[in-house]
Amino acid sequence: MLLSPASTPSQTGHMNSRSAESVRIEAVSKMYGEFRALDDVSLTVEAGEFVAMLGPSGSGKSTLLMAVAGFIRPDRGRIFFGGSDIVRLPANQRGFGVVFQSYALFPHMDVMANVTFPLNVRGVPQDEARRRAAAALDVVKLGGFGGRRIGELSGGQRQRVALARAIVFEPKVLLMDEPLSALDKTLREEMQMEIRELHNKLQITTLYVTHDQREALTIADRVAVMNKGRIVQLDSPEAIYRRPTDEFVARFIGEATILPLAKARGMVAGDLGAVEPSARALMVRSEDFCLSRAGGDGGWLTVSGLLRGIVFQGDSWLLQVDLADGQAITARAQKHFSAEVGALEVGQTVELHVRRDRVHLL
Amino acid sequence: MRGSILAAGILAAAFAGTASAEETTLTLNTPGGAVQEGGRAVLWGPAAKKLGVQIKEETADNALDVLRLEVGSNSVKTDIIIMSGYQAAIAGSQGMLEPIDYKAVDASGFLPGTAAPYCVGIYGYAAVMAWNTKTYAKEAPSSWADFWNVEKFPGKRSMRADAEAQVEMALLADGVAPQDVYKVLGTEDGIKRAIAKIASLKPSISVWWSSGAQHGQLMKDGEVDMTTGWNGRFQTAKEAGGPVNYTYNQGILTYDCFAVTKGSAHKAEAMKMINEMSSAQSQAGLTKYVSYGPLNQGAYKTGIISKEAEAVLPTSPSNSGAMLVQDIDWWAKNNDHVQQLFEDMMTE
Amino acid sequence: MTALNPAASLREADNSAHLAWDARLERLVSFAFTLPCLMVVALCVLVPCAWLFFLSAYGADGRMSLENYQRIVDGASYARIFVTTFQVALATVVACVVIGVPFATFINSLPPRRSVLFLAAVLLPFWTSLLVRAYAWLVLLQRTGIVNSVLMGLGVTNAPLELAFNHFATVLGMTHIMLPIFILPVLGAMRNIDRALIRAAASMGATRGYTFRKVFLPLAAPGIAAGAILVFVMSLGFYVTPAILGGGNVTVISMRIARSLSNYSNWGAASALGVLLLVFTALLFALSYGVQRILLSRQRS
Repeated sequence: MLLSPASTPSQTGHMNSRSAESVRIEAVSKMYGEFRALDDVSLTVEAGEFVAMLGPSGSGKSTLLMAVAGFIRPDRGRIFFGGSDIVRLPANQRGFGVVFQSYALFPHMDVMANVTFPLNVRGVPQDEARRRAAAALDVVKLGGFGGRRIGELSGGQRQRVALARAIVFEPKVLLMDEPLSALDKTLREEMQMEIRELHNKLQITTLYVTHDQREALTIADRVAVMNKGRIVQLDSPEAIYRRPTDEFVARFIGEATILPLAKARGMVAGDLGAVEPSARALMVRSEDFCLSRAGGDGGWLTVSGLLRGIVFQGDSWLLQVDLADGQAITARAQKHFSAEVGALEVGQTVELHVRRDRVHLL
Repeated sequence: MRGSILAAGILAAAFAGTASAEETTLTLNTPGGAVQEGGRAVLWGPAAKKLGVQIKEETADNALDVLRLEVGSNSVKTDIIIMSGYQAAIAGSQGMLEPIDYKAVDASGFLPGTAAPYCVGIYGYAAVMAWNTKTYAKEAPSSWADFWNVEKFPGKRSMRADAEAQVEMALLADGVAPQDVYKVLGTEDGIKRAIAKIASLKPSISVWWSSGAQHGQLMKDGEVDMTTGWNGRFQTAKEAGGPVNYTYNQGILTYDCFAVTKGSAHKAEAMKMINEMSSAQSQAGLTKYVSYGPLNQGAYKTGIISKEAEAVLPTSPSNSGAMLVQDIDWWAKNNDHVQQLFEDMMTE
Repeated sequence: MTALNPAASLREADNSAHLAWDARLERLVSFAFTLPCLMVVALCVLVPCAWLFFLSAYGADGRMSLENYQRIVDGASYARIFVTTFQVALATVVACVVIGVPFATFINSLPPRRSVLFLAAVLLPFWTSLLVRAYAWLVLLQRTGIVNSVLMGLGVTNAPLELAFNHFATVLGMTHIMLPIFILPVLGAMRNIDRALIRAAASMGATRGYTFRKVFLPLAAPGIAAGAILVFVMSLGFYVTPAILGGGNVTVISMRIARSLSNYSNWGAASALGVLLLVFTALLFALSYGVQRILLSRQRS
């Protein structure tokens, strides 16, 4: 049904009988000597869901993926799949599709041999294997590339072959470890959309590791932000962006100005309204600062500072402003504010306004 | 330029002249080791003192190489050289040695065949048969026929990885009388007969030895039960209490000798030196340093050699009679051909 | 200033000739730096080789002739010696591959610290003399040696086995010496294999054995080929080990060369053997180079 409209009835039947399965990670920990790579991590990827794990290097996201794939044995914890605990099952018996950062294509085989590899392992007859591999290559837009050597392919093409190889045996779970990190920006963004489309089509339960926050937000149903071996926030992309649970998430994703509440009270003009007692700081996204209070009645907050620099960045201007106590904030003015930005001069005092409902308390 | 070289030459010649007038220096090339040490003490040391010459010692592993180099490049430095009789025969036939002047050298007391046209023997040693006394405790083998008789004397054999002396043994084993050995070897059929005899023993030969140290060790370790080899090694092993014995019966006696380099500047002095070093006294004295036998039979009458020592020396009157003196001229002529056939047989 | 003639200013503007000269000078200087090295190579490799060819063309009588080659063609033993030499070398290669590939795979699979330990164990014999190693094998293998004593003590055999002084002992001794030389390039090739490839194969359901056969081994093949060629070529020149452990029953070319020199001082005969060995080796090398290029081009990435 999914790989190609030209699928044979038998294949279609086989595929239809397949339903997505969830992956449930329960209290998994892993130490490398003194280094805590995974610290009691629990995560459920629902059937057919696309979850991206995002975090700085060393945060444990790849370790967790490798544990699910079966390449790393956790020190403790369970991983449930299809109703049973697979944590002790060898990688080659899990039946998960894996796409590696380095593509991990076999350099001594051509494209077709790479893609038929998992089918050969499963004893699929050669002509059926070739037919299914060709279909998978069609899905990744590499139809007709079967005879190419791996060395002749570009980075993007290699990534597509790796993808075709990971889905050709119709795995119930797809694991991807920073699959796009070696590609240039344009290609990366194109591939993000393609992977998303592919997921929409195949509905394979997918766990995806990336250190690129924009990629995570673009591609995933839910994003798990990891830091120091723990999941610090697991939420939809918008919630992660708008309502980070702590300063780490706020800073790691997007551009943000964070002011401790104690300090903010003295410098910010306007009514902050009711503040939860646990809140310690407020966060404002750079693009939520305005140069004027244009419309909106939900109440505004205003802060003033010294304009230190204006940087033109194509779709926006970046304004660098120093507050009275020396803290730097960055504000982003969209293109349509060109008149206001044009009137500004470096060195002058500038007022930045933000709608109350755009202020997030941490 | 040319003039100055000429002048230097004249000067050098003048100095050489004055030097020889006062004291001649002979260069003597030795194989080193015990031979050099003993030779210095009893051969050329006393002889040089008596004749009033100086000796400059040099050592070389391969005397033939020294001769080829010096004679070939016309820069003869070595006057007297110690080499095996067989090498001397080759070198003599290739014009690299002066013929020995037997008017100056008295070799009348020598074992027949050990004072050759191009060299005078110093000491003799024998290629003999040795066996393990444990393996053959009941009855010891006593002839080359026994060495070849693997039914009567079962056990592993070792022979030399070189035809030298081995072809003579083969013919003796095949029933050729000692005095006829080189007659038979004089024909191609005779050579082939010897090689074939060795080939017939091949299944029982587990090792082909290539050095004296090796065949000594093989016997000491009990690695083979019977081997050909040099008497000195077996005597040492026997004295050390090893299960080894050997016989001089049908041994192949060969020798090392003094030769004079072709074109030596001190030919006459060299002959005089060799004469002195060939005396019964000198040769008898050398037995204190090496386990080889003196060739001048007078040595055994000097009283220097004890009865016990005499019994184990290969050249003593009681032992030498049972042995065949190797014909070094035959070897000089036939070596390449015989070795080729031998190697074909070995690698077959 | 303004009165500069147009031709001169053109000449000054077009400085390509100067720049080309600079480039040439730079190449010349860098060549000059490699010159001493080239001279050493020429002196230590080319000159002796040329000398070898030269000597081999002169007969015992000092006249130019092909007698040295004629002797090799005529003598039955020479053909056999060449065959023996190549047989022993080939057997050593096979033994190295059979022992070395699994061992290198094992070392490669170990964590770094422990792999160093095992590698050191392989390399350790490297630092002991050839002679010592050959005699050590003799102590083990000979009729009254340790192996036979143990076997007979245990009642496995009644008569001592013939372990020493044959092809078996020679190949064993040579394998012992060549194994580190084989393992190093093989391990190098294995270390270069991306671990992700092995994981990828596992993720696709392949068992360890299947992965080893279809992925690991083909990728290690160039290293194995390099090691095998190295072992083969070096084995052709062995002298001490076959001389001691072969006990005269294994005659290889280098033994015949040594014999020609030490017994007969026949440089021509020895050189002719050397030349032939060199030519055969070069031919084999060219052949294997071709094979290796094909192997490499098939998996260039």
